[in-house]
This record gives sequence, structure tokens and C-alpha cells, in this order.
Amino acid sequence: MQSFAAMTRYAFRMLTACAVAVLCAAPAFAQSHYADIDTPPLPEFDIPEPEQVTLSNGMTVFLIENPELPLVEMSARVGVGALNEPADKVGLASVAGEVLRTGGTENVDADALNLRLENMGAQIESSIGTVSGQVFMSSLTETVDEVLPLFADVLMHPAFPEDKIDLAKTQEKSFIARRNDQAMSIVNREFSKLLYGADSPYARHTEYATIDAIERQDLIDFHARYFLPNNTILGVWGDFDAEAMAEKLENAFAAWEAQEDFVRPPQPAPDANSEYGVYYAPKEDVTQSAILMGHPGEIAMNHPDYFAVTVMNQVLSGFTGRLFQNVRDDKGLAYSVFGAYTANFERPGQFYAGIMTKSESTVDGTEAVREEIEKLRAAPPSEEELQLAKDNYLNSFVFNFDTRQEIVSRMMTYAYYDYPLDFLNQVREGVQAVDANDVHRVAEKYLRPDDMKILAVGNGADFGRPLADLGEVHTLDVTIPTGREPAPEATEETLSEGQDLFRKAVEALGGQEAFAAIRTIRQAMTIANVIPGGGQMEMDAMQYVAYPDRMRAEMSLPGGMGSIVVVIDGDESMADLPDALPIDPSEIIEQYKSQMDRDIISMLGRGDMVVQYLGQEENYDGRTADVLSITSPGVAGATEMLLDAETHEPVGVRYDQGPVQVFVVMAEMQQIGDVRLPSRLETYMDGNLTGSVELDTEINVELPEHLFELKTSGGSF
Amino acid sequence: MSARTILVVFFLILACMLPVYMAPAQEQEQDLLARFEERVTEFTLDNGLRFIVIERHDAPVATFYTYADVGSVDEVKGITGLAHMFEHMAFKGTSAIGTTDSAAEQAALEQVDVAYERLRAERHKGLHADPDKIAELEAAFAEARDAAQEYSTPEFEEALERNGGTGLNASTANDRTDYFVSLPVNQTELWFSLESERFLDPVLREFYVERDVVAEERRMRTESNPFGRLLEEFWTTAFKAHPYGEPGIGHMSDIQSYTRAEAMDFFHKYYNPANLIVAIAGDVDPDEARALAETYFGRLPEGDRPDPVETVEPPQIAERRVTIEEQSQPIVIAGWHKGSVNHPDQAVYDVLERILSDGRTSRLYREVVEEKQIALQAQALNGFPGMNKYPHLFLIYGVLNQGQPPEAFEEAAYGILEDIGEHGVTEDEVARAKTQARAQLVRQLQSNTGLAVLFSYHEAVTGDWSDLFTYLDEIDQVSAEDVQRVVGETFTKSNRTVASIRTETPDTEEDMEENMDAEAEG
Repeated sequence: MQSFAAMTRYAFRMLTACAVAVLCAAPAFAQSHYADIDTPPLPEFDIPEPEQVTLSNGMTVFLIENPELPLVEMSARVGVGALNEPADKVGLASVAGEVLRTGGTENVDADALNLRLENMGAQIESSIGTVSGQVFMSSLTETVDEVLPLFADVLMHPAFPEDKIDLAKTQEKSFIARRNDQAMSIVNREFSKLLYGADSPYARHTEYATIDAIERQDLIDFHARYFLPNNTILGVWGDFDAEAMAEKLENAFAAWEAQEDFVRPPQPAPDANSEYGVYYAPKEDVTQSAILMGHPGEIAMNHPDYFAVTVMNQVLSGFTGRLFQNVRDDKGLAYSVFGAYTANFERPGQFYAGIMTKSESTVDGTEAVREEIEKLRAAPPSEEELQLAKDNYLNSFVFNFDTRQEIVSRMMTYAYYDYPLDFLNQVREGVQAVDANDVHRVAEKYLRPDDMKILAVGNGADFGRPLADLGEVHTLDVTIPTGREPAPEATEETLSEGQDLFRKAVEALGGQEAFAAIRTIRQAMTIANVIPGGGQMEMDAMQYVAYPDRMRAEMSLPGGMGSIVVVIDGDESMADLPDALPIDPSEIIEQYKSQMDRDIISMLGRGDMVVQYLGQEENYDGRTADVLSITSPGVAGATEMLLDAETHEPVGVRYDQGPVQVFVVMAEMQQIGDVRLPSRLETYMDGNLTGSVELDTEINVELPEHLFELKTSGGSF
Repeated sequence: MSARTILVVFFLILACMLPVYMAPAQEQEQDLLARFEERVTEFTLDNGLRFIVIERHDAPVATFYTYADVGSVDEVKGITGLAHMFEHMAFKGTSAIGTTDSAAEQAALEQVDVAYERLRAERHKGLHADPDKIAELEAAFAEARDAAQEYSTPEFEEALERNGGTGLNASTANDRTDYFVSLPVNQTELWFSLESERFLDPVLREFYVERDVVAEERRMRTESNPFGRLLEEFWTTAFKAHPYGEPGIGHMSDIQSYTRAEAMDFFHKYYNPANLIVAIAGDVDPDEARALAETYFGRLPEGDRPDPVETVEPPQIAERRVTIEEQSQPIVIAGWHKGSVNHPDQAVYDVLERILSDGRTSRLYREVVEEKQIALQAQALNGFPGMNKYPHLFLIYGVLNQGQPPEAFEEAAYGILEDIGEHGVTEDEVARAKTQARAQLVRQLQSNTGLAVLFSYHEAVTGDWSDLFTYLDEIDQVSAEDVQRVVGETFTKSNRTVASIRTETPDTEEDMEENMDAEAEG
């Protein structure tokens, strides 16, 4: 029922509305030009405050209720990051963050965990970034009592099974293989290295070697060291009663014990020094360059200049910022142009600005961005610009509170970095007080265009103006390393130990004299090639070798496709292939040549090799092997030979073929004449089984001369 | 077996047998719908413009979302990309917003058009064009363009940002164009004023500079991005008649040649109130919103709803394949033609999509990612390339692991589909898909933007926003037999288009060149 007063007000409003209508002959409510609208004040708003409790094991918890939807969500932030991983195991934090969830727990294995969560439509996800780790949970209200114990179990008792670690490592390697596919990913990665140095924890990145170095025990140790209740902050939001939820959490994490003397290691401050430099990374398959420029920053968020820097960023960026308006809208040089001076909670950030512009305007685009940076330093922003920048920040301030999740998440962040929980209000007040001279002052103080690193990734052949217009250009080599380190410098000790072991290997197989006496071999082979994705292809082949440098191989292809013949005679060679075969003959000859160079018989019979002992490693079958690095005159690159540590018999040979590492395992040794030779070889490329060969070997048989004639059947040359 | 192991095993068996509590699905959907129904107000203005207001009084903010039922599907050859170009232009203001002198600017813009037409006419002579004259006309055009630009200001964007606008943006898809911003609620009238004026009286100023911006966008998304290049090859191969086969961003030559007049024609045809839906989600009073809607959007003149696309993609009669040799790592996309989003089997395909790739228990994840480690990512997608108003594709794509060739992914993916075709799916898989569908919907309802997007989309494509909830009932009706049936009907070889990136190694490229040289010499 309406009160009398309200009715009167209503009647009055109707009356005035009608009067306006009569006077203006316009609709009851007139349209206003946007600038003439009388904006009402923002309604009073009680910002939801999270409740903060500390569990008996020391874990800090923020809770905030929201009954709107039947959903309960929570996120644990753990004080651990890639910062804390050893430099030779870069990727450990990432792999640990992945397998924490994918590997299941000591109580519920991976498959069971997946099944139980997905049967409930629930989610648990984990990851570890550069400076912190997160474990997230989302459950419908009706299943929260089932999901919460699983969430706690994942945090406390991850199983880290080998198979899921291998999966995560395979995936990390695939990311490495893909890291040069996008110009933006190259420019981001290399720019960080230019700014901080390639070894800095804020710039270093995974390589095949650092991923290979990660072992299960590393994950277990990493988890044990950092996943502690007193190094964890939990935020919970959604459909629950806070008091009851706090009790559930107390129970769920009761078994998790604090480690009283633990202190989270602080984030190291990077070196702020920088020298001007122009860098170029070539990428041929693009029509647009990706360019970044900038230098390390100097202030963290708790510095008094942070407020003026915040306003400066608003002047520079966003829809209405100078970069967008001038470089994009006025000059049409880019779709994507951006820049900011960043600051972190515990350490300085960086100044960066960037643009993606067509190859032709690479230098013009870079200069256009630089010009905006110079202009910020040259003069204070206009009062109008300043007001726009401040209004934008202050009037959108309410969006810091429009979801419970971001309120909780902010509290967690402030607690994590030991900031005052009302820090955001301090920023608001600080921004309110900033004037145009403050912006000019911080721009002059913190933006250093003459100290910038400028990196352009693109197709240099199409750059309109040469990049050298910006300064002397340093070209970066972004080739992905294969992950195999060059052998360490040989010492007298490792050389003599190497020769010693090599002699033992030769003895174990029959002695150098016996090998040197081998003049020819004839081998019948059954080759089984593994087809990716399953299945295999079998071929029969014959191989004839007349030492030292003549060989012939004949291979019949399956399915009536014809045959391949390869003949090598010293430096001369030929390959005869069916025309339909889409293989380059020179590639095949190359393969046979490198195979001949690593032929066990020729290696064991030679006396002119340099052998270096590299150390021991665990072989694929769990046995220990001594590793020798062998170089011989006329053979490019080193070959590694693995010897069984007890019997000294060779168990495999390893070498690089282009970017691929080839590992040939020798199996089923057989006595043939005076020597022992393998009757089965298995070939692995980059760790994947690609084929096997069954060998039937005869030695010192007469080989007719015509076998080594360089003559093709079809005469296609 | 240790006592501990026995305990763990027992725990696992118990866990698997424990029925997860689930209320009957029908009841839940009605509950969810009821919770929302009383918070949703819909009305249609006299000019046909539909409004949906979803109240959420959590915080004094709201998301304002305009859904235009137009996209790249409405373009024809020669103007591909124009729907997207107009979306960019809709931020340039009106005759009263974004200019320092409207009348003078209007005259200057007409000069730009004239100069551009002259240049275009000379360029159309092709090989017979006079290079000196082209240079002269280009200079004249540039001069006219710069003169007009003197009058333009970024007032439209500034008006929103100054008043606390966040998330200001727009996007163009094949079947729709949307415009969105979130504002503090005291700026509700401001939004009504700006947004209605944008579609009442747009001025396409800075058109020819913005074309360059869009060309850069195309370079970024498509030309300089391996996945973008692959996608474009894929959809141009999969569709030979329907405009879903054209790139949404437009062909480069079209971007560099369409005119301001063509964009204006496009606007007049597609941006009439009957073709728009506005969704507002947040702390708004629906009565006030309605009054403001009538005041501001009531000004838009009535128009006819444009005709839908009448071209129908003919049945595909043979497998189509396209392979690009790239320096980048392999990716495979396979797509099969299927019906539109309103086809009775739509829910069945949704369940299939989940069984194939939703979560770590899904078939593609388990077999292709986890066991065989063929792909880093393997995903099924029911609905490509658009918002699926018209018959479209069901997609499966794989981002391959290092050293794995595209064939390995294809073989594994087809094997999974064949297995479902022959042996069907389990009741557990179907039940899990249904649970996940519901949970996902609940999660999407968490944000104002999520609400506005979902409600307007369902209103547009099915004619009723509440379909958003009743669709869960349709999903609930799906049986294991349905899934097996559609797999048999859809996933045939002749209905398939496959696009892949094959990695070229620089070495073999060099060798090939050497061979070709050798052949040429021989």
C-alpha cells in the first residue's frame, strides 16, 4: 500500500511531466544529449567483507558468502613459483603444478579422481606460475562435502606417478617445439631475456635439457618444501554458511602440519640497469612484425610514485590513451599497440611498449610508439587528458567489488605480500591527488627511451626502412637447442680412462686384431619400421661392406613399390629409388654414410680414435652403463658409445643426425667367427622407437666387384 | 599386499560404487529457471527492438549488451569483412558526437569520398592505369582524408571511459555482431543515450584509416598466424556455396577496396531495430529501463528484418583435404557437415562433444592426449564457424605433440568415432555429459556479462531466452542410442574436410631446391 505522501509525489510528477509535454510537444521523457544528462549519485553500496579465519595449522582463510547460485568455489594460493626452481631444472615448477592434479593422490589415483570429479560436474585444477602456485576448486553446493576432501588431498598428498610426470614432460617439450611458431611468443620471450639476462629467474625458460633433468624425486621434494599450511592462503566464495564452512575446512586440513620455521623466500629484485640496443629475430612466414621496446622498472607498488605512474599509464594506454588514439586511430599503423610502466608487489616491474605493424612499416611503427614515450617526458598532459585518465580510474573503481571472487582474491594477494588489506583505497586516494606535474615528473624520472632495448621479430626482407635506422642491429639466434650439450673439455684423466674402457670393450668382443682382420661382411636384414600412431612396416634388405669405405645396400619395399639400392665407394655414391617414392636420394645416402661412420666393426678395428670417458648413466633397462665419447678423423661430430659397466660389452651407440638424436641399441650378441656381434638393433629417435633390425651376419665372404659399381638400373641420372 | 594398499583399494571400490546424489534433472532445471524467471523482464518496443533485463542487485553496476543479428554470413563477394568493418566504425561517433564542427566535417567527408572514387576509377583501369595519375590521385585523396580527420575526436569512447565504463568492446562473428560495456548503474541513461544514437545517426568518419587498422588486424589474426592461416584454408575448403566459407575478417583485397558508402548501405540494411536485441544484466530497475528504452531507442525508425541467407550448402560428396607446408608445428582440423542449432539432434551433438573431449575422462583426452600422447590438445567442437544459425560443421582438432605427424592424430580420432559408431557409448558417459552440461550452465550464470551474452543469444537463435534452461531438458532426453545414431549418420568420410599443417624442415626445402636445380640443368 502506498503512503499518502508517496501518492502526492507521484501525482506531482505526472503533473509536471504533462506540463513539459504540452510546452515542448515532445514525448513525456525527453532524450538528452549524453553530456546534458543529470547523472544521479551512485547508490549506497555495502561492500561485502570477507571473513578472515586462521585454521589451527596456521592456514589463513578468507570466506565470503553468496547464495545466488548453487555453487561453492575456492582457491588456494601457495608461496612457491618458478623462482624457486634450480636453474638446471627450469620447468620443474610448471611440471609439479600440472602433475599435482593430473597425477592423483596417494589415496585416490588419477583415473579415479578424474572420474569422481567429473561425475559430479566438479573441477579441481592446479598450476604453479613464476611467483605463486594456485589450486582451484569448483563444486555444485550439493556435492561440496565430496569434493572438498579431494581438494585437500590434492594439496596435501599428491602421488606424482611416473606416467603422469612423463606425460607432462612430453607436453613441456611440445611447447618448446612450438615456441617459435608465433611472432608474439618469440618477442615476449626474447625481450625478457634482453631486459633481465638469459639466466634471470624472470626471463629464463625451459629447454629440452632442463625438462629431461626433472625427476620424480624433484617434484616430491619441491612439494614437501613449499606446500605447507603456513605457506598457503585459501579464499572461499559461494553458497555456504561461513561458520559451517570454516569448520569443514578445519577438518579437511586437520592432517596438514605447519612447519614453524618456514619463511617464504623473498622475490629477488632484478637489476634495473639497461643500455640502448636494437635487436632483430628473423621470422620468414609473417607479413607483420611484432615489436617490443622498454627497460627494467625501478619501483614496487608500495612506492609513493606508484599513484602518479598509474595515472601516467592511463594517459598512455587503453581505448582513449595516446598510443591507441595516435598510432592506431590517426596513423592506421596497427591494430595492436600497447604500453605500460608496471610495478609488482614485492619488486619493480618493467616499462614496455609494443606494436604489431605490417613488415613495411616496422621502423615507422617503432618510431611512432617511441614518439609517444618522448612526448610523455617532454610536457605534462593537458588538464583534460589528466581528468579523463583519473575519471576513468576513479569512476570504474566500483568494478573492483562487483564479484565476490575478486574481493576474496584481492584480500588473498594483499595478505600474501603483507600489504595493508585496505591498500586499494590508498591507491584511490593517491590517484585522486595526482596532478599533471606529477605525471610529468614520473614520466621524466622513470621512462628512459635512450636506455631501451628494442626488439623486432619479423621478415627483414620486407622492412620498408632498414632496422639500422634505429641503431646498430644485433641479430638474435632463436634456434631451439636440441638439448644435447657438447661433451665437457677432455682431461688427461678422462682420456686415459676412456682408452682403457674402450680397450676392455674391444677385448670383450674378441680383441682389436680380430676386428681388424674383418675385410668384408654380408648381412641379411629384416627391418621393421614403426609407423607413427600404431602398426609397423616390414622390409627385407641385404647389405654388403668391404672395409674401409665401400658398401652396398638393397632394400625391397613393401606392397610391390620396387626397391632401393644405395652404393657408396669412398667419396662417390649413388642411390636408385623408385620414382614414386617421395624421398630425397641424397638424404638416404647421408643416412648410410653416417651409419657407416658409426659401424661397430670399423670403430672397434681402428686405432686412431680419441676416446673420452663421460661418466656413468642408468640405461633404459635399469642397468648402469659407462659412456664414452668417440671422435675419429674424417667423421663429423662425436659418437657416444655405451658400455655395460660390468661386462664392458657395448650396449648402444648414440649420435646426432641434424636436430634429431639417434640411439641404436645393440641386443642379442652372437659369436660370429672370432668376434661377438649384435644380431638385433633397435633404433630410437629422440627417445621414440622408430624401428628394429634382425641381422644375419657373415664375415670375410668374397664380394663380387660389380656390387660396388655406381650404376643405376633405370639410368635416370 | 600391505594393509595400507588393501585399504586404498577398498576405498576406491567404495568410491566407485557410491551413487553421487543427484536430484532428478527435470526438477533442477525448473528450479534454476524459476530462480531466474522472476528476475527477468522482457519487452519489445513498437519499432520491434527487443529488450531483456536480468536483475542482479549484488553491486551497483550493470553490463549493457547489444546483439545485432548480422554477421559476415550476410556479406557477398567483394564486400567480405564489411560487417566487421562496420563494427569498428560504430565507435567513431555520430553527427553530434566525435566532431569539432559537424557541418564542416560533413563537407570534408564528401570531398574524401569524391577523391577516393576518382582514385578507384583510375585503379580500375588495371594495367592501363596511368601511374603518374594514380600517384597524383593518391596524394589528393590523402590530403582530403587528412583534412577531414582534423575535425574528428574520440568523444564516443571517451564518454564511456570517463564515466567508469569497463570492458568496452565489440565483436563480429559469422552470425552476429555484439557491442558491450559495463558501467556503474548511475550511468544507465548515459548508455541509453550513446548507444541509441550510435545506431540512429552514425557518422563513418576516419573510414579509410580504419581500413588500414583492420588490414593490420587481418595480418595479425590470419596472415602472420599459422593457426589463422590453417583455419582460413579449412573453412574455404569445407564450404563451397554457403557464406560460412568466407573469412569473417574479409579478404585483404576487399578490406583495401570497400567504400564508406558501401558500409553505410550495409548499416541501413541490417541495423534496424527489428534486427537488434538489447540485454542488460545488473543492478537496474526494469521499469526505469523500459522508460529509457522507449525514450531513446524508440527513436530508431522501423525497418524490415533482412532476409536470411538462402544459399544452402549442397551435400558433400567426397572427402576434401588441404595441407599447408609450414615452418610451424603440426595441427589438424577435421570437420563434418551437420544441421543448424535448431535441428532436433543439436542436444545429441552437444552430448557427443562432451563425451569426446570434455574433461580428463573424455575419449579424446584419455586416448589421444594421455595414453598415446599423440596430441598436446585434442578437442571436439559442436558448432563451427559461426554461432550456428545455419547448418555448419562438427569439428575435431588436434595440436600435435613434438615428433607426431598429422596422420597419427587422424587415425586415432577416426578410430574413436568408428568405435562409437560400432559399439555406442556407455550410460555412464551420457550421464556424466548431462551433469557437466548443467554445472557449466550454472558457472556461466555467475557474471553479468555471461548472463547478457547467454540470454540474448538464445533469444536471437531460438526466439526465446528461456530456451537457455529448457535446453537442459533436451539434453536430458538424449540417450546412448541417439549418440550412436548421429555418429553413424554424420561422421562419414565423404562428409569430411581435413586441413593440416605439415612441418617443413629448412633442410629438406634446400635439398628440394638443389634437386630442382639439378633437374633443370640436366
